[in-house]
Amino acid sequence: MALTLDTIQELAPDQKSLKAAGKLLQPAKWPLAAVSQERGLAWGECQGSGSTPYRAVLDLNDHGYRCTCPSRKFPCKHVLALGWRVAETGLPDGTPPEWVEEWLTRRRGRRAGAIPGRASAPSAPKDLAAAVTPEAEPPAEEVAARAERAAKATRRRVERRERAMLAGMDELQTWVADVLGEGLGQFEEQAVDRCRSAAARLVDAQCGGLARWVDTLPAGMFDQPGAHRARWLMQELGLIILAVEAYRRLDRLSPALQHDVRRLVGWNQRRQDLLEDPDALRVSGTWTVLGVHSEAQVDNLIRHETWLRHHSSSQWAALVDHMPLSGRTGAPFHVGEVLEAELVYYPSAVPLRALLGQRSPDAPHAPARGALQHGITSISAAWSEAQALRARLPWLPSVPLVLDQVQIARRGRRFVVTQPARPGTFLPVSSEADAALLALGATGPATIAGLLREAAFQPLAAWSTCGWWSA
Amino acid sequence: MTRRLTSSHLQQLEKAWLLGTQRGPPPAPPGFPSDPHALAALAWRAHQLQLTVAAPRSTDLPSPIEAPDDPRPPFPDPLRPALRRLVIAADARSQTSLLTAVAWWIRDAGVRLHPFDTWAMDVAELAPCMGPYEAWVAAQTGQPSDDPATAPTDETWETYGPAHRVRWLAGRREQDPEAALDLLRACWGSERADVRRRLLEALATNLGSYDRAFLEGLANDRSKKVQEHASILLARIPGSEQHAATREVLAETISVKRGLRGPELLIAAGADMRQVLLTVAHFHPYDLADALGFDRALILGNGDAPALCPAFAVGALRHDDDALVDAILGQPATRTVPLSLWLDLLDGVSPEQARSIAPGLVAGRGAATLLADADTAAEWAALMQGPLTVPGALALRGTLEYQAVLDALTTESGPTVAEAIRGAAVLIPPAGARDALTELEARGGMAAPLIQALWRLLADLHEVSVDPASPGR
Repeated sequence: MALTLDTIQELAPDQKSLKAAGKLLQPAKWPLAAVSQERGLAWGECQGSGSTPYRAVLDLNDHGYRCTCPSRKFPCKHVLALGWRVAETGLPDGTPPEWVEEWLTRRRGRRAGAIPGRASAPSAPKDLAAAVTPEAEPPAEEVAARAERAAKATRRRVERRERAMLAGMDELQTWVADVLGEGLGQFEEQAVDRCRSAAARLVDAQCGGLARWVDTLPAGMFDQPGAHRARWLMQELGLIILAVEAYRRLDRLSPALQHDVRRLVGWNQRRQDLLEDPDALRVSGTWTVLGVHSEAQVDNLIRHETWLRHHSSSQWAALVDHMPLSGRTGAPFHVGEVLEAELVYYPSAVPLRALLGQRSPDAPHAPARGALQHGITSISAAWSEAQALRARLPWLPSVPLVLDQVQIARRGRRFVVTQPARPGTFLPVSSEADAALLALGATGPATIAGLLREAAFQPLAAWSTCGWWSA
Repeated sequence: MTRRLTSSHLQQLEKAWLLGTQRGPPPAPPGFPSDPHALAALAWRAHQLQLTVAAPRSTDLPSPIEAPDDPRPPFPDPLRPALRRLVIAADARSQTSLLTAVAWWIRDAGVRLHPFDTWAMDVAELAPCMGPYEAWVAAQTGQPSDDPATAPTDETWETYGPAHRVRWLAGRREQDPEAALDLLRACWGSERADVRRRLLEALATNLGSYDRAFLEGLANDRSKKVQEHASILLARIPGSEQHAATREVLAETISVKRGLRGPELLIAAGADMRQVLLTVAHFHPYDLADALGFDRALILGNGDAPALCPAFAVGALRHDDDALVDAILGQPATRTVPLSLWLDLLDGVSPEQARSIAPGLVAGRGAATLLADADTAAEWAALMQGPLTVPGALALRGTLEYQAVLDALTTESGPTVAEAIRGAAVLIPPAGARDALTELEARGGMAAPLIQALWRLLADLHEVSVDPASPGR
């Protein structure tokens, strides 16, 4: 079945979806889009509001599709736009990447008669031509007046929020003082309820970042062995107070650290503002995805943290995305995936969090040794480096490291990372009885990339005598 | 004036923070009288701890991890992503069939799984290709294996996964069927329906009258599938209602006809043929002959009812009567039975049993319908055991036969994907996978993408193993 514009119109669930798809037809919205005529497939990456693009794939023969966006419209605007581009202008021919192959393998056989996207009930009339008809532009004076009104409203909103946040922080400090007065040793039993209500008050005060931090304190505390919980809590509450005090003295901090503190308490920087910031740090080249960490949050969102490493500069980057827990929540990238791209970093005293900017379709398919070069050759040096970074940014939750010539070994029931040359120094590994780690350990010394969280190391990927390994 | 916190001050403060001050405000460091300074001290201490803790050291040296040697070459690196994709794509219904198929083919190709892939997969299903790794992996990760050191016991068997439990319970039935039944009875109430259904498979080993009361009690089981399977097992126990009813139905359906060539078996017109054959396949053919009162010799001479051949063969297979299986497969009538009927009946036996019958089945069929000469039939049989080359036409012929099953996938009454995968693994030899794939793709169908992926991987693997210069290497 050939893909025509009529087919796109027919596949669309409603006129609104067609209109939304019509706005995604510019090639600039698609860092990556291609077809395989031989396999009858089209695929592409469309930049949405997150740090990573949505990935859409469409079978040109039977019109089966998949998109990683959380839309509840089927097919979504991304799939419709992709098909629209294929039918209208065509796309360059290419080889399907790994994520397309994976979708193909996962597809289930269809029973005879079932055609996706064609509901049995008659749908409202849809018109492709109407979807791309531009709306009438208002006069220039009205546009300017609107912009001025919007700017004033934004200023008022920011001032109101600033007052609310400072009041919320006062309340938070009182709360911490109460907790200390009662003794951290007594806190465990009431931790969940008390943190939940403190977090709710911080949400009211528009301190979203601090609210999430306080809300997750009980989970973090219960992850610790019983004897360490009170001291762990002491340290976390200390870092929260440090963030609050830093926010009160924002003008005395370096510009980069100011951005860190503002993000920490709850201010967000818009994607578009960052991409247009001429001073933002940009790093282009070949990147390999070394790890994806997904975590469900209390606000019914799932947080995907994708860790990448640049091949020649050894720079790390973390792409952070939030998706609704109830929707399709697959991680945006696969571990081992190689990207040819420009990453734009959020300003920070330790630049790690970034956005995916320009993207080139010409990237090798397999991970290479180059992703793990320039590793640290001593565990003590790695530990010192982590401490140096935390001296610059005390709220750094994870320090990414590449350790050269190290080995996974066992210390009782736990795994550790050791150096065959200096076996007395080690890093505890944050998982127990992990079969994948056993396999890595059995291959001897390797170059291991991972995250140092508090005092435990979480291996993400490695290059060993048996080749590429990922957790 | 610069004021410093001494270590004794810190100790006092930490003690107060941990123990509390009986609902009073937290103490401030000496020389810092106000409350905010109490909290600032907390912040300072938290940051100080981040910076002053040294990397862990110990004189108690860690133990290195050492895996056993395996001389076989590793699974080709370029094919690893496809293998991973396949395993990820399989859902719970098809994973057992899929992994079993993959394991056979990897073993036949003479390679071992890449060490980094064995962990992502269910070791129990991959046992055929694991080699010395199986016992080692099991010992390291607390999983069971055939190694006595890690195998389940009467006390621990409930803690293992369903695949191991069924395998172990079947072995236990061979030693002491009644003790094994007691073990099953003890855990029965707390098992999920799908696990109960699988555990019943183990009762087929050494099935006897001691199982009757337990199986009769399953007539009211919450799961219809469990009820059905229990009823099938009961039909094989003399003295049970189901046995008598089955015998009665079969007696009405199967009769002996006096023809010109002597007596022959005949299935009554209008009977539900599939149901009859499925039922026959549960009995040892000789038991059935005795119960229905026909001569045992007719089992090998039922020319007018060839469909009974696979049912008799599977019945003999279930009762481990290999000699009778071979004899049935050797008779001309088996050649005219559609392959889909074999698949349907073989679905009721274990994958190992299905695999064991395949060479004889194909060889028997090959002499008359598949192949031009008997030598190629022998080659086909050999193909099932190892990576040899095969004439394309031969593989294609087998593929075309198999397509009858794939066609059925597009209808509601067709076999499930899991059944089809098992058929794909049992009946398509490694060298025929590429032709099978080409043929399937040429049909432009979306019927079985998982089977396409399986055949693509297995064809690549076969080509790599027979030709080291293959691009897949």
